[in-house]
Amino acid sequence: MNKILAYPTYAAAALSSQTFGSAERFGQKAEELGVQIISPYVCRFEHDLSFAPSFEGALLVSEPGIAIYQRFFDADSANYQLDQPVIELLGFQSYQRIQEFKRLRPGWSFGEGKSLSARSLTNMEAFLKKMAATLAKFSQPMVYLNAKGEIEMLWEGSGDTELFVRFHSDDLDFLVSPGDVEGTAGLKSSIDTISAALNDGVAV
Amino acid sequence: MSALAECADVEDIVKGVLFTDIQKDKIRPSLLSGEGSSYSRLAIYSLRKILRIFRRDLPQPPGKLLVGYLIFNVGKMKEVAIGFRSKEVRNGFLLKVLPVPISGLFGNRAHAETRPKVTDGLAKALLRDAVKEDRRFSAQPAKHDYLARVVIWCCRRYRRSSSG
Repeated sequence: MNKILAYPTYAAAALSSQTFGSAERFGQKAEELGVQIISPYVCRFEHDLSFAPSFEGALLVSEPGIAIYQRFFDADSANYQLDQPVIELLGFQSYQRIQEFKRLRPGWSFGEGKSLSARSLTNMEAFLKKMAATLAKFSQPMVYLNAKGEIEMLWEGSGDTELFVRFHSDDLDFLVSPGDVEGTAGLKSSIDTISAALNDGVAV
Repeated sequence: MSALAECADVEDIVKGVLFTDIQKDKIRPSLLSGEGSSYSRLAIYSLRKILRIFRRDLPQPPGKLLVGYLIFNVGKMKEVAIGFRSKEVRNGFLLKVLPVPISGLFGNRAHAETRPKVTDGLAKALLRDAVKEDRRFSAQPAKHDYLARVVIWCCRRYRRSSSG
């Protein structure tokens, strides 16, 4: 029995040269192929995939998926590689700062700072990809690291418009100004609230 | 929570700024947010001693991490907090700065913390309106770098003089 640890959509990418697009689609496909999803991150394959015709050769083209698998479960964020489109959204200076953050060891902030969290980076990456169109209207973001090892980002728009986001391992905190719209929510819900707050009379 | 009395309104408190907190001269809006954000009291130790404690508590070389400090007046912070209005209901919100001395060999008797939890919005307002002094250190080489250069220079001089 093969066992692979990966996010469902990425697991699909890891196992096939084609992506299935969404977690639901992967769920359907997984059922057809006898792949059991144990948790969002753990999938168990009931048979040896290398013998499954639909996946023939798929494992040979699974490098991106394997890389994502490693990124997810490698506790050391130093090995985490950001995707090229994300680096472009960040800008060179902010990307360089993240590289510097990776070098900080536990205790860096007056004895209390934690190392950069790989889960925070994953969350940030997902947010940037989903919000790329909206964020393009802002100047390149500023990147910060808090003592919990979480990435925080600030985007400045025209006038007083600002978007501040803190990336936890699963959800995120946001603050949209002016108006001081604050909240903590999952990725999708946060994006909806942020977009609504930015559209609510905030000229970016 | 400490049983000590609250810090007086006339007191000034210091917050260290690390390189992780600042980019393009813009300080992280959440620097002061959270439950129990740390400060050091100028009523207990001098600024010089507080900065020495900051540097002592940072990984070596501390010059790379500590890039400046902010000084706040306790009374002004409370004033900004009272005046701060967000869409959340803030009935009864009263910012306090409580002395929480850290004991032990590497303690800090001047340590103080804010209560209750400061939201990101309020933290941003405090940074905007309550900063009494904002000092950024210049990007000069750290002291140990300077000493290392002096040692290298002396060694070169010695080699030249001994070979000549």
